[in-house]
Amino acid sequence: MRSGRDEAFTAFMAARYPSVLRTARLLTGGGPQAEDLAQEALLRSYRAWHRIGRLDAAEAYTRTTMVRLLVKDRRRKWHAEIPAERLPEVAEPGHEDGTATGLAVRKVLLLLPPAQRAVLVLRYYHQLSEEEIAGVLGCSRGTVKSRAARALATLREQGVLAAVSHDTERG
Amino acid sequence: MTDRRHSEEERIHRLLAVAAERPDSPAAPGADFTARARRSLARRRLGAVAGAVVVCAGAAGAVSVLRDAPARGEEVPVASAECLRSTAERLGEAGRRGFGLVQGELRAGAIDTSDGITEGSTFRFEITGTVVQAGGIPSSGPVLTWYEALESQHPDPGRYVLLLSEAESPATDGTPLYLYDPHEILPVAPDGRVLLPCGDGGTASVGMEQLRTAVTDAKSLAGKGNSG
Repeated sequence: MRSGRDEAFTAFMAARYPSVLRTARLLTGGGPQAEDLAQEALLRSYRAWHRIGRLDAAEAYTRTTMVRLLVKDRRRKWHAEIPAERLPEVAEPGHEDGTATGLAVRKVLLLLPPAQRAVLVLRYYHQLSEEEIAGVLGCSRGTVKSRAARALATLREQGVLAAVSHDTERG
Repeated sequence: MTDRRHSEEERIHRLLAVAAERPDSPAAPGADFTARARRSLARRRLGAVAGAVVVCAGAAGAVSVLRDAPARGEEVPVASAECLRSTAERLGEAGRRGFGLVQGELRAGAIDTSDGITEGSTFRFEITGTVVQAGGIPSSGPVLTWYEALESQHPDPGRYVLLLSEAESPATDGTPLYLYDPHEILPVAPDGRVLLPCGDGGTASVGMEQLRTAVTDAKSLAGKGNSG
């Protein structure tokens, strides 16, 4: 019984850890905090494995756990001070280097309060509906909407959206 | 309007997808991590068992609780040689990293700690005896522990065997801090036996002296293995 759980859990991590870690990077701004958050959520997913039941539900469970940990456990290490990375101020218009753009976006994400960051990631990266996000965060649909709007405003203020828009026009 | 909105959503998605990627992606955790998760689950169950034992002890007296426990299906079996060996190896390995093994009483009440960079919450631990010695760890008396944790993650008050090592820096008021290992917190039953999480997800008990001997042997064997 245990060995079945262990094998399924290890297989889940082998298959989905990169995806889980990508979400964690967006939620934390990257760095070791992302791995801390992902692994804490995975430990909790293991505990709940009998309730999760299906492999395809495990990633959603882990993602929800990461978001709740981020928003509610404000004193954990993924909220610790992040060593300054050498980041460009904003992504240069027309910049082809995905790494520079990625760094710039992560820097802007860190300017957002955790709850706004979580909404942005769930809404625009995972493309969940406002209702689904409200369920994950335990808040109203209106709160999700206003957090998304504030997060987008920050992205625009920081010039990141404009830069991408320019890229798109060029492409 | 809808097209423009859709196009903006697409742009944001692409932007986040780029930000989520790193060139240095680490390997996925494997069986070792699963084993850690299993131990963590076993410790939680073990904490529940210990809590139940403590509650019963308060109501009916420690000795009768342990004598009655099997009848209520709460018997804690004696640790198998394999369970004791694997626990001793982990504790022995921690010993070579500077951790000492102590027994004592975890006191109720969380203490807020912050070193200016990270925040945390800690608890006082009254050491009543050394199980396996390490430099800088007192053999008795109250110490202030430290680990980056939430108050809700602290073990419940009660008797435990803990791994402690002297923290590099004291608390802001100068009080020495002792780092504890949150993965190795072993409750002590009212009869003085130590409860161990075993590889099968169950809980087993071992006498304090037997644990001391096993950990000392494991530490010394590991030391020889490394030097040889």
